[in-house]
Amino acid sequence: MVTPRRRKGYTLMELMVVVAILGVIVSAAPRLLNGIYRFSRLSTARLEIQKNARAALSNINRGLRQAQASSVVIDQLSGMPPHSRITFDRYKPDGSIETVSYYQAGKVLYLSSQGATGKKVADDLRYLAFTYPKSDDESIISISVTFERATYEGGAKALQMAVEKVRVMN
Amino acid sequence: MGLMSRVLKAYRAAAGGVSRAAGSPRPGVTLVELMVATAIISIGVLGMVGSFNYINRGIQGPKGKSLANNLAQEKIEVLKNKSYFRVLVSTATDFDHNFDPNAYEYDVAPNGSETMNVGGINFTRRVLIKKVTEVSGGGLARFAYTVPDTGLKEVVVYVSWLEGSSWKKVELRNLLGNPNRTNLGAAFSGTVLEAGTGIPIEGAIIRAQENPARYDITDAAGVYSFACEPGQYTLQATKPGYFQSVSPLYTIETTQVHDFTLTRMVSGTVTGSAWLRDHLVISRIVGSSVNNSGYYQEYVEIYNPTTWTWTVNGDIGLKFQKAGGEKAAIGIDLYIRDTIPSQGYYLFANTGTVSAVGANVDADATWDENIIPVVEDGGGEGSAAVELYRISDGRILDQVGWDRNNEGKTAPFYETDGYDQDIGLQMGETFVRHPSAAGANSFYGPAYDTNDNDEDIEGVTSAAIGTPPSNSLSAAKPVLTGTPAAGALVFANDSLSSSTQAALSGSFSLASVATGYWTLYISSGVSLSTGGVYGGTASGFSVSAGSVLLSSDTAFGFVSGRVTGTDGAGLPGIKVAAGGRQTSTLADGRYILPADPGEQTVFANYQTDNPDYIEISSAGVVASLGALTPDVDFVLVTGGKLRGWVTTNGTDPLPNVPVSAFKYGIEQGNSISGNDGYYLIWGSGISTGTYEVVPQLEAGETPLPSTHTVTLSAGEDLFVGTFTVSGAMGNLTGSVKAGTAGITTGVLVYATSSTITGSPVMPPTIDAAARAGSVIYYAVSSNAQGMYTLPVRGGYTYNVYAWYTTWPNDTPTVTPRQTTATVAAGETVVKDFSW
Repeated sequence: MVTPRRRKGYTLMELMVVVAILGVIVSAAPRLLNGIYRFSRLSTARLEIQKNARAALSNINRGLRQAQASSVVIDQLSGMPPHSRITFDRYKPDGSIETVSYYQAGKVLYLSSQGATGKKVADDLRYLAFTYPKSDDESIISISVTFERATYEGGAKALQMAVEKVRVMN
Repeated sequence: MGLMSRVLKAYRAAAGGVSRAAGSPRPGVTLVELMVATAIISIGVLGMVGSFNYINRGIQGPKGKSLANNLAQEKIEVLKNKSYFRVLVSTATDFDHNFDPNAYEYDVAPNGSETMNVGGINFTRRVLIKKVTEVSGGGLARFAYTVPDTGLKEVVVYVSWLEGSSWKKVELRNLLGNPNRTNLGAAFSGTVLEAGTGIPIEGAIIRAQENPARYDITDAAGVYSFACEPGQYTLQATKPGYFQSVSPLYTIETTQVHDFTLTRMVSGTVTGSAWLRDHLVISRIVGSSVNNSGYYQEYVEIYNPTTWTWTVNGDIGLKFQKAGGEKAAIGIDLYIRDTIPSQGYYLFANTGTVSAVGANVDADATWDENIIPVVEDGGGEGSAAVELYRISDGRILDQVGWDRNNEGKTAPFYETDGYDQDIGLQMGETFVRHPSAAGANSFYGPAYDTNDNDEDIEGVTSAAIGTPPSNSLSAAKPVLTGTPAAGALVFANDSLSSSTQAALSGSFSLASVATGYWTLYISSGVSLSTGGVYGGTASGFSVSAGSVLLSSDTAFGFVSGRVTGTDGAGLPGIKVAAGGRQTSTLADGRYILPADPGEQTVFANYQTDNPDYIEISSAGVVASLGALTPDVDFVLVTGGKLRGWVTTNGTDPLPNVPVSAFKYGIEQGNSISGNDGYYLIWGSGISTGTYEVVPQLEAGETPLPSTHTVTLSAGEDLFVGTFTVSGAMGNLTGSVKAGTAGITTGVLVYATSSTITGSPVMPPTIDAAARAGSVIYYAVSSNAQGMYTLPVRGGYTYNVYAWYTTWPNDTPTVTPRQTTATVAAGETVVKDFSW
C-alpha cells in the first residue's frame, strides 16, 4: 500500500516571522506613501505657480512695454488689495489703440481688453502690486507678484515671488 | 499536419502530464523564495523612488536657468537705465574659482556682488564692466580702467548658483555707447623706416601717449594709420632692437602725417661662467694606511666653499659603502670641534691625530674602527664610496665613489661616474678634489664639483701630495669655482639682447647685447647674481664677465623695462611696483623689478610717488621664477590731482556721487564722493591740461554749477570747487513682519511728503494727473526676504504707509500701517513695520 506523502505546512515560527515582516511593511507604508504624495503635491504646486509667475510676469511685461506712458492708471478693484490693477492704452499691430487692464480679483489674475469681462490669466495669486518708484517719472513701473498655493491639508505652502522693473517705451 | 496542430498537440501532452501528476503534492513557495521575491520587488520600488530625484532635478535645472536669466536681464535693464558715465567701470576684480578651470572674472569694486534668494535658490549676481573699442575684425579690444574713455563700455552680467553639487551660471553681455561720444574724427598716419638703410620696419608700435587705446602696428611696408579723437597727442614708435622715437606734440583736428626713422641698436657679446656654491664637499679621502707610528689611520676631509659657517656636530655625518657591502653611517664617537668655517675645512678621522706629509693634524671628529678598506687589505677590496649628508633629513650634500676596474667592481654610488681606478684605493693613496678644471693648485680651496667624480677627483700618492690634510683650525683658502650653474638664465638690462642659458660647464655667451654698459643678471631659479656691469661701445664688442658666483637666494621672477617721458628721455628715480614689491628706475630710466612668480600688474610711478607724473600700469605681465620678462616699458605723462566737494546745501556732504573729469570731451578719469562728500580724481588719466569736471547725477538731481573748468599743471593738487546738488536722493529701508516672522509675500510701501486720507487708508489712484501733480509718491513692494528699500528725495519729512493683505478666506483683508520719517540726502533711514 502506498502511504500518501504528508504535505509539509509552514511552522509557527515561519508564520510569525512572515507576519512580523508584513506588519513592519504595512505600518511603514502609509507614512512613506504620505511623504511621497506630499512631496509630489508640493513640487507640482511649486512648478505650477512658478510657471504661473513667469508666464504672468512676461505677459504683463510685454503688454506694459508697449503702453502709452501717459495713459497708465494704477488703482484696484473695489475691496481688492491696493494697486492691484493697472490700465493702459497700447497700439495694436494694425495701428489701432486698445485699452488693456490687468487686475486681481480674489486670488485670480485677470486680463481685460477694451473694458470687456476679464479673461483669467493665472490662479493662486497672493499679492500683486504695480508701483511707480517715483510718481514723477512715468517711464519706470515696477511689478511685484506673488503666487501661493497651499498643498496638502494645510501643509507646506509653495511660494513664488517675482519682481520686475519695466521701462515703458512710448 | 501543419505546424499549428503540432504545437497544439505538444501543449495538450504537457497539460495531460500535469493532470496525471495531480495526486502528488504541489510544490509550494518556500520562505526563502518569498524573501528573494520581496527583495527583488523592493529593489524595483526603491529604483522608482530614486527616479523621483532625477525627475525633480530635471525640473529644477531649467527653472534655475530661467530664473537666473530673468535676474541677469533685470540687471542689464538697471544698468542701461543709468546714464553712460554712471555705469562705473570695474577697477578691482576677482575670479570665481567655483568654475575652475573656466573661472570668470567679476567686479569687486565699485559695483560688487549681490546675493538673492529667488524660488528657493540662492543666486549670486555679478557684473564686469570694461572699456572697449571695436576692432576691424569685428571683435572687441578691452582696455584697463585707467585708459581714457573709449566711448564704449562692455557690460557682462553673471548670475551663478549651486544646483545639486555643481555650479551653474548664466552670462549676459551688452554694450553701452556714450551718446555724446566724440567721434574718432582725426587720424594719424605715416611710415616707419630704419635709419641709414631706409628699409621699412614691420611690427613697430605707434601709440598716442595721451591715450594708449589709440595705436597701430606697422605693416610690411612700414605704414601705420589710426583714428583718434581730435586733441593733442605725442606719438611714440617702439620696436625691440631699435632705439625708440618720439614725435613732437601735435594738435590734431583732422589728419596728421608723421614719419619715423628708428636707429637700430648695435650689439656685442658678453661671455663668462656661472657657479653655485651652496653645499659642503668631500675634499680628501684616505683609506686604511699605516702612519709613522704603525697605526692604521684613515680620514675624510671636508671643505666648505659657501660664505657661511656650518654646524657639523650632530648635524653633518658620513656614510660609507663598499662594493658588495651595505650602506651605513660611520659612527662618530666624538665631535671635538662643532663647526666648519666658511672656506675652511673639517677633518673626520679614525684617530685623534692624523700624521701625513711630515705633519701631525688634529682630527675634528673621530670614529674608532677601520672602515675604509684598501686594496692591500685583500679580499678584493678597493672599490667603495663615501657620502656626506645632513643627519636631520638625510639630504645628500656630496658623494664620492671609486671603481676597481681590474676586478670589474663599480663604486656602489657616485655622482655621474665613479672615479676610474684600475686597482682601486691603495694604501698610502689620497683621493683629492681639485680647486678648478685646471687641476691641483694648493693655493685655492678644493671646491670644483661638476657632479662627476671621475672629473673632479684625482688619486695622489703620499709622496706626491705635498700638503697635509687640513682641519677646522687650518687657514681658509679662497674659492675659485664651485658647482657649475648649468642651465642658469643669463640676461642683461639692455632691452636688446634676449636671455641665454649657461652650458653644462657653467659657461655662457650672451649675444646681441646693445652697445653701452649694462647690468648682467644670472639666475639659477633659486640663486641670483647681479654679475656687475659689462659692455662696450664698439659694434661687435666682446667682453668677459669671468667666473660669476650665484650667491644670493631668490624667490622671484624679474620684470625689466624702461620708463620714459613723452620726449623719450629716460626718467630716473621713478617707483616701479608689482604685487607689493618695488624698485626705482636708474639714471637712464631702466629698471629690473623682482616680482613674485605669476601674473602681475606692473605700475610705473606707483601711487603717484612722483606727483609731477601720472601713474600707469601694465596688466597681465607674467613673471616666472628666476626668469626675465623684458620690455615692460612705460611712458609717463605729466599730471596732477583734481579734488573737490559735493554737498546738498553747502553744509551737508552728499556721498556716492560719481564725478568725471573730461579733456577734449573725453572722460579721462572719475571718482566717487566719499562719506564726507569729497572726491579726488587722479591716477593714469589725469595728465596736465584743461579739464571740465562734471558730477554724474540721477534724474531729478541738479548740480550748481553744472561744470567746473580748471587747468591742471604738473604735480598740482588742484581744488576744483564745490558742487551743490539739489534734489538728491536718500533711502528708506526696513523689515516687514507678521508677528516675528518676515513677510515673504509682499507688502506695499508708500512714502509721500503729503498725507494720504480715507477710511480705510488706501493709496491714491496714480493716473496722468497724479503723476503731473506737485505731490510726489514713492512706492515699492517688499521682497521675498521681508525687506524693502525705497529711494526718496532727500531733505524732506515723509509719511510712510504700508499695506499688508491677508486672505482669511477668499476675501482679502487689507491692514494699513503708518509712520513718519525724515530723510536727508544720501542718508538711509530704517523704518520697520509689523502686523
